[in-house]
Amino acid sequence: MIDSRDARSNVGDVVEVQWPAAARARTAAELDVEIVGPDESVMQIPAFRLDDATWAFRFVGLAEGLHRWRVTEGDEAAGTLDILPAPVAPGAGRMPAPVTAERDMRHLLAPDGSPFLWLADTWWYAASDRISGAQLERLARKRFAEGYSVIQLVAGLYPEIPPLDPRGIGDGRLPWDAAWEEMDSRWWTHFDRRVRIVLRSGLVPAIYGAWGYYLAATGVSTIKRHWREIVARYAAYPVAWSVAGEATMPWYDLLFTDEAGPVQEELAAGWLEVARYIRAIDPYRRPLSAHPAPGVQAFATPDMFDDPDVIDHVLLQTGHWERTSFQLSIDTLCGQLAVSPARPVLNSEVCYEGIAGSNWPDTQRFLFWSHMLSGAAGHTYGAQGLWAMNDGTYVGRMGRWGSATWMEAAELPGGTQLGAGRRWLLERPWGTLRPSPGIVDPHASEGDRIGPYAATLDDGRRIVYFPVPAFVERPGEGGFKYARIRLSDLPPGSMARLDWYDPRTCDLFESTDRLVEADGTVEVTGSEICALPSMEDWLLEISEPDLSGPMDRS
Amino acid sequence: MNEAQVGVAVEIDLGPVDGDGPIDVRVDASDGVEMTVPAFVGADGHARFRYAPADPGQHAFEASGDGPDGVRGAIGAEPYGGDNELLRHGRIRVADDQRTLEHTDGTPFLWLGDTWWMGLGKRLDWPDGFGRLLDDRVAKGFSVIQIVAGPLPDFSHTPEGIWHPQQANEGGWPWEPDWTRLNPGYFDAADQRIQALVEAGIVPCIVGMWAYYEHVMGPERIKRHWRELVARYAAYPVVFCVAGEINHPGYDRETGREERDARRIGQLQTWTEVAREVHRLDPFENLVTAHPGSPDARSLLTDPEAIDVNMIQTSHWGYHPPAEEWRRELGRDLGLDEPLRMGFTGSIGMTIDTVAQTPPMPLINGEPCYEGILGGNWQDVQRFNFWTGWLSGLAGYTYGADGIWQMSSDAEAFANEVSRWGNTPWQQAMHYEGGRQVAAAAGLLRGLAWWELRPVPAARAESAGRIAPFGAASTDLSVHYLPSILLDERLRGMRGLPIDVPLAGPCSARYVDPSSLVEHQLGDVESSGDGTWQPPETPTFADWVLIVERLQ
Repeated sequence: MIDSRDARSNVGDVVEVQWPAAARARTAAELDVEIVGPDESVMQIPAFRLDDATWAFRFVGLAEGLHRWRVTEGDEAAGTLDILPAPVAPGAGRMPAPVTAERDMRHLLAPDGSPFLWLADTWWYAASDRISGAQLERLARKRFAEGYSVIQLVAGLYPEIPPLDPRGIGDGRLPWDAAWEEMDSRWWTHFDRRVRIVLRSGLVPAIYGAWGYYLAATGVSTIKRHWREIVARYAAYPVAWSVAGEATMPWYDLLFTDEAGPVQEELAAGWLEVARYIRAIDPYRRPLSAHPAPGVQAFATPDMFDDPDVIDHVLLQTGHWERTSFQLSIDTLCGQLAVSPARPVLNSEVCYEGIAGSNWPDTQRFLFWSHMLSGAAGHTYGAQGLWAMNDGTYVGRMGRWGSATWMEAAELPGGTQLGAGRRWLLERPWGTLRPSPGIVDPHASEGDRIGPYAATLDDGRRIVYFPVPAFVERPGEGGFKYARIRLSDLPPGSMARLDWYDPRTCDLFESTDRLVEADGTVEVTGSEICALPSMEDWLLEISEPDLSGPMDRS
Repeated sequence: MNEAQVGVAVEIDLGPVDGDGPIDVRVDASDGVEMTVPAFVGADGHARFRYAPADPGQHAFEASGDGPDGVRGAIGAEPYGGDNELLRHGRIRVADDQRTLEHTDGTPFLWLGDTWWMGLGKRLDWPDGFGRLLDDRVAKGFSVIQIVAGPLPDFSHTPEGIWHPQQANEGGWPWEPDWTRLNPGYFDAADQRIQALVEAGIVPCIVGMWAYYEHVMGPERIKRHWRELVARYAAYPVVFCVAGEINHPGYDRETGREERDARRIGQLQTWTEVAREVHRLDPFENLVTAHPGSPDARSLLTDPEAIDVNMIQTSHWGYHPPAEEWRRELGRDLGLDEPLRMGFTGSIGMTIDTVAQTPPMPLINGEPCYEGILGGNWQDVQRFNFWTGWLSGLAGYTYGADGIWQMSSDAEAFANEVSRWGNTPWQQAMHYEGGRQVAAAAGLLRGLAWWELRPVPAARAESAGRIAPFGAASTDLSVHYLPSILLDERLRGMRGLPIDVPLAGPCSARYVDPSSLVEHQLGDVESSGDGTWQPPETPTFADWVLIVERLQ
């Protein structure tokens, strides 16, 4: 048994303090720890049970100096935390920057105020036994190297299976006993390892507490205990929360029945109560949201429930129906972006790559770039096979969305291509992007979301994404959407550099300098039917010639 | 005595020529049949002819023409002893059912083409690149390569386009500048590639040129061009396609409607005459076809009997056909009263309507959505087009990949002188999933008596609001393609619906994943009293192939 009541750590590093529980604490359901900082500020943190005889809490110091802690009630344990300066040079594997929410902003922010570009992959079943820890680590490192920043995963109460179904087993265990009375701390230790793998790979875990229908099965109080455990164990880390996945969707058998409506209402009220509870017990105020359920006509978090005091960012889910989902996706995004006061909005589930044998990289690129240039705070990718960590055996309640294994799905090209897109954006002041659809003609519009998207950076550069012509139904001049491209709102008489990037790799393909006409326009022409470098999708950056390319970070 | 094997082309050098006139060789075959084989002249000035004996025994020949006039000889033919399946079974012909193709020994021939329009050019480097791509296609199971031996598509018919460096191969352009004479160097270089295809067991479908050059070259030069192709390649087991996009008047869309209409009408007359001429010239009776813009080749040619095999092109749009306004404009340019049929619905409709024509004629879809073109049309589109087309009555299907058709290369990109379809090099496009999956699908069919399949009646599908059943059956076998649930309800074939089980006797069923060929056995089929059977849910929401076979 470890007793680390007097511990030492560095600013920004998570320290875990453990102590042998007093006799009366061994049967306690909850313990809270009060931490008094060197400036006498007070923070209350939920503790968690490591085993029958040991309690623990996790803390990340944000200020140097001696901190004092004590259990507020139920135990006499107390100690000190000596927080030392952060190492000058971060070593390999140090945690990514914490993600914090800030009001009236379009982005999630790092503590230094810089915008955090969310590009998530979807690994709902990351703690399942269908993937080993070593495999998960390789996968996480691959995604980080590709450019990802977030992993969406579920804390044991997974989608598409009944509560506590064996398909959710991790390390041979489930998080709760069959009566929903006791949590199995050994499962949570296993989940700790999985979360830490994500963290040490440089990725932020976006932890979903449960799928929505579990609340109807267990009741609010059990779900609060579940969430208290999550907050106790992971709030000290740089994480994001989603109170539930498809929060207001009843168990699948009830969908489209008369019973669905009352259950939906019960779930909405219950999950809102849980969200408020999370906000109350999370001392680090990690960004909190809820993942909506198109199955009950909820495409954005506020379609289910809302409380601007607890819902920091809006998540969308807009379908897996390839091009058919595009209009709804952008409509929903733009609808949420129009709400005041502003909150970060991002699509957390749309068109998994390969689902039902479709939704290939052209779809992935369209969704990423159309969302980013429309003002999204980021984007979540998903691949069929990967979300359930299918090893060839997994079939959920809704059936088989595809037969790909997670090993196959991890190699799908769309996933890599979105990572390249994020890396490309990071080389620019992407946080200043302002949607500017009118600077390119033709362009996507409210009635036709499948067209070019444009946005402007505050340094004057403009970015335009042209979707693949295979998606385009409405013709342009001469019958071809891209026969003529007109760029406008440029400084008259100046030179404009047109850098064409291949959105599959984000490598520069060709550059041309063009004189801007007196009316501030440049007309781009090419072959008779296509002004783009080819009849594929393209990413165009327009700049003054000496501004093009990545930012000089020296 | 020259030695040969039955069905294998042998080349006979007739010596130097003395003039520009045509040289013919009369052959008295061992079975008593007399035939006239056109000869050709190589870059070395020697006349040659190629001959493939149909039977063992002695075949006597005598040349006539400038230079080798009177040159005589004989060819002694032995039965074929090699392991080349194409040579063993013989060239391709129309089967008795008038709907499918077979070898001359009666073995059914499943046409799975790949599109190498520019495969005789330098960007597919010889021999390494050519061999690499060919090996890949053979290993995957392709059986036909569509390849142009003349002026190419996607170049303008301006001097810059016609004499663009990328119109040439290692031997130069097919014709000398200003069309003064054929360039034998071009054809000598092409020979080794055509021969390599045949040696690999692949049927070359040789396209003479793109059709719009007709109004530049004129009918006589075109016939001369085709005489050269017949002389050089007819002895091989090939298919001759007189031209590509026979009713496409060229890329100069700014030219007035009247002139383009006149061109198109002239083209169709010429290409009909050329098809007849190819038949007349070819002593080996290779199949003749033509590649259309839209609708089908047979309907477009002024004589529907000028070709043996009909062909359609079903557009490069899959899920999402362009707006009707634009399809109507494109249709008008091709001389059609109706909007061009595009997208999945158009493709299926064109296939079904063309198959239904009488008298029947084998139908090839010679140009569906190329994989990767327009930045889309990936493997799901490829599977859909292959299976729905095949089960709607096609006799053959030609896959295409953007990057391969134009042979854009790592070393030299396609010039895109007219269009800009894409920049992917063939070295990447050859690995596209859709190509692999379509070839695997053909392999699955080869394991079945596919040639006996006929499209099932459409009534049951139509009554459920589906546009077609995507199923075909024989007395012992039925095959249905069940598209993904992502598709519009109308395009889901018999997915979720009971199917007819008209097979005689007890049957068993299985689902096959068309992307992997993984099978799910469904066991014995118990049809209900009305002769139908409701299949269980598909193993996934993606597309599946349902195979029901009569138990032996």
